[in-house]
Amino acid sequence: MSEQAENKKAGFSTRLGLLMVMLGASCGAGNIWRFPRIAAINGGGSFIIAWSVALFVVGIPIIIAEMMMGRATRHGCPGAFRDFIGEKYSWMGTVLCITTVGLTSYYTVVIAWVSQYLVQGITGQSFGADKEIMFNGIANGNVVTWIIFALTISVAAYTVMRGTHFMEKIDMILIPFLFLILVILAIKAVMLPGALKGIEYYFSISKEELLSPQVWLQAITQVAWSVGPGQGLLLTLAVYTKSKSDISLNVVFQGTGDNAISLIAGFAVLPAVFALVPYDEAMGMVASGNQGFTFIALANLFEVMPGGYVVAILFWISLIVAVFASLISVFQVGVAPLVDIGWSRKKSCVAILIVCLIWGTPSALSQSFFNNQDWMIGMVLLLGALFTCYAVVKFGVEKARTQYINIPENDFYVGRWWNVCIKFIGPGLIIIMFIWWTIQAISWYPETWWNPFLEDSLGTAIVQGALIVLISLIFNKKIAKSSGPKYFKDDGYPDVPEEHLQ
Amino acid sequence: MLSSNAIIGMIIALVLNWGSFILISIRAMKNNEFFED
Repeated sequence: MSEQAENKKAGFSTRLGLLMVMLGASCGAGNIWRFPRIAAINGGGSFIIAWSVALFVVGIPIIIAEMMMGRATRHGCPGAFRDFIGEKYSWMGTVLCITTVGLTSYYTVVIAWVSQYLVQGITGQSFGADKEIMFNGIANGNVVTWIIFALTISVAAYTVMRGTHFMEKIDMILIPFLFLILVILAIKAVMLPGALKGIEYYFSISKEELLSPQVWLQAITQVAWSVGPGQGLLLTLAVYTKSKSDISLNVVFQGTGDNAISLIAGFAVLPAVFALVPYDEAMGMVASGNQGFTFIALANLFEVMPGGYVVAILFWISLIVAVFASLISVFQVGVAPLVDIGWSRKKSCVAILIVCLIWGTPSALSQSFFNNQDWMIGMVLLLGALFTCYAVVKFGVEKARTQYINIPENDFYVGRWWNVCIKFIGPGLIIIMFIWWTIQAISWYPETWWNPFLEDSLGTAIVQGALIVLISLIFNKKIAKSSGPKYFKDDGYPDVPEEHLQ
Repeated sequence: MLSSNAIIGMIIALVLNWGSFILISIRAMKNNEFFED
């Protein structure tokens, strides 16, 4: 296929469009409700330095590897692992795929919660209400929550069904809109009387915290859960990219863009929190977990903040936009392998929609189940990052870098630092992080950590994670055989195959 | 007033994240295919 013809047919029409979809994939709730409070709990400026370094040594190198695998093989996760390192490793891709479908299923519920806060905020119904009771009512056994969840996942399925050009158009609107809302919120927050206290806390550096292993582990965790190495997101998006587009530059744009948006979200939230409540109370707020912080503490704060009515509405809209932008990309991770086995894009989207409706329903009806999935999926996704590193090491790190990442058309070349990150630093830090979270989980339930029926026990993560791995292993041969033809001949990138140009 | 520690922290944070984001965006925009259909 000529380059001109490929340009016309390949999934993304412009580099800007691809970059917006990549940024949309990584910008989600993690930037808005997680980053500001994790930064505040872990020492502000010291955490930000560790988090910036973690992006360059863990996040960006693994995502570059993912994109390279997706483009080289032109298959969704299982087919990509099959063609890149051999048939017996397809199960690794299947694990990534199942886990990300699980993520799609429960993550959509966030929009259902936030939408109700938005509507109640606009109509004034929430004013003066006990936010804890209000949130419990929304998150537990609420039919409206389920209906909004079902509608949202259906809209995401429709967006993906319309194809990558349509996703590109949607993200070209959503991402600049999200940026604009966050900038308005940040300006409003820093202009509040007393906001300097929050900014002081947000950026202060302390030597003790900078040398604290916990701060570094939290920083790596934030990168892993926000930028998304190992989720198969970029591996899947890469299937639709042109053979000559610059992987390394695009990934650095995505990673630094994701961090830049998180920084603005911090400006939008922390100065307001520290300006309006005493220090101890502010620390209590940021330590109350994602949901407690957002739906109880911040929701209460908006009512006493000057101009809080408008700020609240903008904040809820920003969360909906961020979550939806990433939702359409994560949804695609489940769709691509079904297209690989020969299903039409429409049929694949309907199938994943049904799976997500079934898998996500318990999370839509129970906050406890949502928390369980959030914890379990977060742990299993770490495996995905390790599998990606393993695949590249098995293939040959130097060969991958010199022949597949640094192509002549690049604007940005990756140096040997990438080899070190993929071989040692990335997997090493992820293993340490895995062990650290395991120890943390045991300390939460010293007597019953093994119990798989507890909401966030180590036992539940192990049992559910093992089930995903077991299913992937049992069906490995079948999935490998049915994942479409092998396009990867190890002589450069193949063209986007017809089935993915639908 | 912000302390010098916080100002340094803010500069480092902005340079590392926004600085690299702006530089890479400029680099990306120089490419002919940035806005091309």
